[in-house]
Amino acid sequence: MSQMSPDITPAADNRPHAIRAYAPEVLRDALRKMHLIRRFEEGAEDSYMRGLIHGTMHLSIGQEASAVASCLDLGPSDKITSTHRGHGHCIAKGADVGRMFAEFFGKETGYCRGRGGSMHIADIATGNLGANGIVGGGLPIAVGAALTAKRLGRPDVTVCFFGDGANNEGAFHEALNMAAIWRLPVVFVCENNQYGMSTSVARSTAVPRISDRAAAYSMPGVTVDGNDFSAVAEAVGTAVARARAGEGPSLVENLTYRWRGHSKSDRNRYRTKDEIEGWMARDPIARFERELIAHGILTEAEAEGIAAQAVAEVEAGIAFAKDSPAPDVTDVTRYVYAGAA
Amino acid sequence: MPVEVILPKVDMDMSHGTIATWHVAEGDRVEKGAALFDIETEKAAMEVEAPASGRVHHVRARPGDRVAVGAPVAWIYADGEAVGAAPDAAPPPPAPDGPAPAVAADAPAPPQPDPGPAVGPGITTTGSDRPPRATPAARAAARVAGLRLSDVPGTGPRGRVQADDVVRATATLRAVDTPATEQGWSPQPGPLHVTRRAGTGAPIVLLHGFAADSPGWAPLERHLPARPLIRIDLPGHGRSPRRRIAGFADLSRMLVEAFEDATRDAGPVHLIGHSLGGALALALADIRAPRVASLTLIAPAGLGPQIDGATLAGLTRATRPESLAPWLKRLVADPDRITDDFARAAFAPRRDASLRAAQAAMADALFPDGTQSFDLRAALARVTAPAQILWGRQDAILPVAQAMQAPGDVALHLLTGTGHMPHTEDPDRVARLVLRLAAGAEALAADNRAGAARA
Ligand SMILES: Cc1ncc(C[n+]2csc(CCOP(=O)(O)OP(=O)(O)O)c2C)c(N)n1
Ligand SMILES: [Mg+2]
Repeated sequence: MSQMSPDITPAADNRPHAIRAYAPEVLRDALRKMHLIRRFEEGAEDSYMRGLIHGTMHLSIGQEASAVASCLDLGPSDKITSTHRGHGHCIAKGADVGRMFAEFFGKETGYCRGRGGSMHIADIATGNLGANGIVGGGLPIAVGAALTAKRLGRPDVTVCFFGDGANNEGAFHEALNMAAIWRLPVVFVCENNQYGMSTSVARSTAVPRISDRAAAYSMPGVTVDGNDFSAVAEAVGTAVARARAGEGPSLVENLTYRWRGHSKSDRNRYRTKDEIEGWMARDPIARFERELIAHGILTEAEAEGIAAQAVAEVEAGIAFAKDSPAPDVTDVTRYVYAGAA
Repeated sequence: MPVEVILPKVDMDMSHGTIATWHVAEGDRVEKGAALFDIETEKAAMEVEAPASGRVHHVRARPGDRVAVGAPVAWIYADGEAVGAAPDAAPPPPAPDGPAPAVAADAPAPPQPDPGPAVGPGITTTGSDRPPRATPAARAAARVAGLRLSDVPGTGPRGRVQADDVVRATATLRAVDTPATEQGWSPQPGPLHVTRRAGTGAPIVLLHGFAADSPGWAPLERHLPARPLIRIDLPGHGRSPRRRIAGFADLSRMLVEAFEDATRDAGPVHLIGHSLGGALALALADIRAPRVASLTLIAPAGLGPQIDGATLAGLTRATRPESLAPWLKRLVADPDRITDDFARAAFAPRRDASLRAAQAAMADALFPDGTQSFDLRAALARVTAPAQILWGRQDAILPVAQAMQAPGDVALHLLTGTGHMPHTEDPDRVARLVLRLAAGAEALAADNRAGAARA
């Protein structure tokens, strides 16, 4: 939760928004989650390449600031909807990496008892309404969740993650329109990583900025540097506060980049090595870490400790998943549909 | 501890992959992220990058080997790290589809129907996902003899093909099983013949057409004075060994190998192919895209079923200049070009009956019943390098209408008063177009580099 430091007046303070607005332990925990996402994705990639994971898988390495900063103002009863590239969103919303790996490996201890896999992780208990294999599939669900909160008179907000590719789906336009006419407490967070598979945004999208589309649905739209933790926290935080106050939906566009291919079978023909390396030089984790150290939130040694802790947590998670039991064949048709939340 | 390099899963339903080529040799130094080897799956060719910087050792899978997902294929040693015995491989994890054998193939293959030439990213697939069990020596011997392993009865454990079996099969196939078209020749070992001309700038690689050879590029070369040239003789052509060709996929694999060897020390090259060589250039550009700076296809094969089968047969059948000349005249728009002297010179290399027989066998494999059996239209749509197609409007061998397959990004030049041989009929223009595309491609690449550096 956001917390102003009482001894400093915002006007006189030119530190980044996140440093001003959040308590040090909140910021340190955010950094921990970003490291955890990075290490988790690397562990998932390694496991996939070794043939331990079925199906396909999409990695969000390079997009960690967008996932974590967008969830900073959410509590357990707030909701998110995620995408096919959703591991980071799960972790940002508080998922346990051991149970995530177990899900990937098809184990009984996984979030969906191993029935879902990478693209179908959901954890209703922490407000994660699920990843989605359908591009744009989370948008109508988010609107439904927000409508539920409004009808039940609850203060819950839904953050809806989707990609630049999804912004040209009909579901995007229907969802934004409906959320606007009913003033629903939902924040649409577009993670614009420049490509939907091999198609660049320039080739697929008629407007220069995806946030321009907010104007068509009478809601605020803003584009921020999605690799700048503080910028994302500020933009999404403002939108969450607005939604919670009953003022309706917003659209936030986080400009970011996926370092890896769309999936492991991506031959990277549509982008150059130079382009990828250019973005890797703008690593959101290193940048946030430098910022925290520069503002005295963290020492170098503490930063190393946080990184090391993430490594250990991922190793333990993989071990937990490997040691977990596989479902019994006689049970394959059970636990396919969610029970009542 | 050296870093293990595994054969990675790169595709949804993949349990094995075939090593297509290594970009490094045992002992070479690599940087993390550099291309290490290519693998072929049922769907695509993929480049695998080095997981660490250092020297590559204990390379244990060779091109052509089929390897289980997760099995180690090499190790990378950090600078200064002592190289010991090959580390004990961690047992490969149980693949989703059951226990995964390590390097090499599993059960003996059930008899497979001839898969025929395959196309697409799958130009390189054979259609059979269970190659026969064979020892490495047998694989090498079969490659050299131009035999398919599936044609060789194995006598080793569980039907494994041994080197002896390949020797026996070569003899038997020659004596008994040889179709009429293969009489009078036997497959020869060795790499494809490559000739070079020195020069400056990015090299131009030349792939000639069916029944032609590298000296046939001479008229064009006079108009390409500066650049280095690399010419590859197709198997059974010029000074390359006579090889048995199972089909287009088989042939393109040989070309990929020769291309890699010939251009190992060069950056991206400008690739020119004529007719069958055009189809091969297109296949190369598809599976080795990063190696190709620009692509010029002159009346390329592979863009439709029609081809003038009578000329193919006539060219390979002719035993003297008098019977060759009328077919040569069909190759060009102006038959007066084909003087008696020209026909005699063209016949000189064809005096060799085994060359004619090997080419007849190749025509039978690639163009059975006077039909182009392979289709590269999908590959053409995927080309990423700047590319152009040049075609003579009077081409009597491959109909110029096939040029209309060109996608929007590929430039099309239709040459008036020109037949199937633009590079000999109008070499000046062809050279100009080649150099213009090469210069444009290089300027664009430089621009992109500068743009990316600024970004
Ligand atoms: C409705 C639908 N159409 C197409 C696909 C195939 N598909 C899977 S991911 C993807 C690209 C999505 O791009 P984007 O929304 O930008 O997300 P990113 O992969 O970049 O994170 C596509 C087209 C799908 N899963 N669902
Ligand atoms: Mg995208």
